[in-house]
Amino acid sequence: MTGSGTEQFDALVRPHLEILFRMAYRLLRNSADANDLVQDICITACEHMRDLAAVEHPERWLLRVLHNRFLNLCKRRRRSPLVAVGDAPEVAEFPTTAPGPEEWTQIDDSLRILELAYLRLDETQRTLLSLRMEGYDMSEIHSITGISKEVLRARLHRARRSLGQHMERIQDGPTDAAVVPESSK
Amino acid sequence: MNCQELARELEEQDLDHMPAALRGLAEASLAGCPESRRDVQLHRSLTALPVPPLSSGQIDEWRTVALREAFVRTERHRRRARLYGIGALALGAVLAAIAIIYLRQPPASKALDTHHEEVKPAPPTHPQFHQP
Repeated sequence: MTGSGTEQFDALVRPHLEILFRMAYRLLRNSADANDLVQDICITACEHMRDLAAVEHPERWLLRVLHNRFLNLCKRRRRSPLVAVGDAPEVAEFPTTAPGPEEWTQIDDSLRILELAYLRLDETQRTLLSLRMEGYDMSEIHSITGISKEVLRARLHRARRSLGQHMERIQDGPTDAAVVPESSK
Repeated sequence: MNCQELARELEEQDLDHMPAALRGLAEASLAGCPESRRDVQLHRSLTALPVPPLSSGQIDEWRTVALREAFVRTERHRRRARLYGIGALALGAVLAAIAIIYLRQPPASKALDTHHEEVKPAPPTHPQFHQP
């Protein structure tokens, strides 16, 4: 099973791992969390290798799994008592999707503001913007997320507006207050 | 292309991924449409956010862990399905045994009839029978 499993993995999953990792990182902005998310998707793919072999676009299938897992992860984090105690900074900072020190050193101030604003968006807005960053058009995003095109247009528009507003607020106020994204509060 | 048309095209597809001809038209219209220009700028800034490179060692690790974990989970599912199957068979056997025992019992109507035969008529209570 392992031999054929390895071959199937290399044929069906491996070619899409880069884009999956990029998407996971764009959504979470944290290497460790992105690694865990991709690992989870790989396990799911191995469990459903027959389904994956039967679909027309394995990449979209994998991205749909990623989207669902990301939504579940965000829900879990919202329910987590560690996140709910927002008053204690040493507790609140641990499970957030905020970038770690390694990530902070790699980006300059303007990008940092953009990143903080991006992390304040809700999970669906982040998914839509990330898919657009990867170059997917409306039809492809519709088939990945299952959201109708009309709703997608409206949400994408709202996501851009919210991102602009968050950036303005972060520029005006202290940046430390913005470390915890809204979706994790 | 006016601003509304440009906004519609940009909603459908990102500027950098448009076909060359359409992209040329859109880029020419951008100068007169500040809102769309801001959206394109924002999109490009987001795309410029750094993403760490992926090493082949990481891919190998994902594969190894995924194959092992998927095998373990599949085995667990199989074992659970086997247990459920055995449980269902056992339950079926118990139900069949109960049904057989129930069917072998004498019918309830017969038992009632015999009871009727044993019932004696009540003694007469009319006052005329008590006269000496």
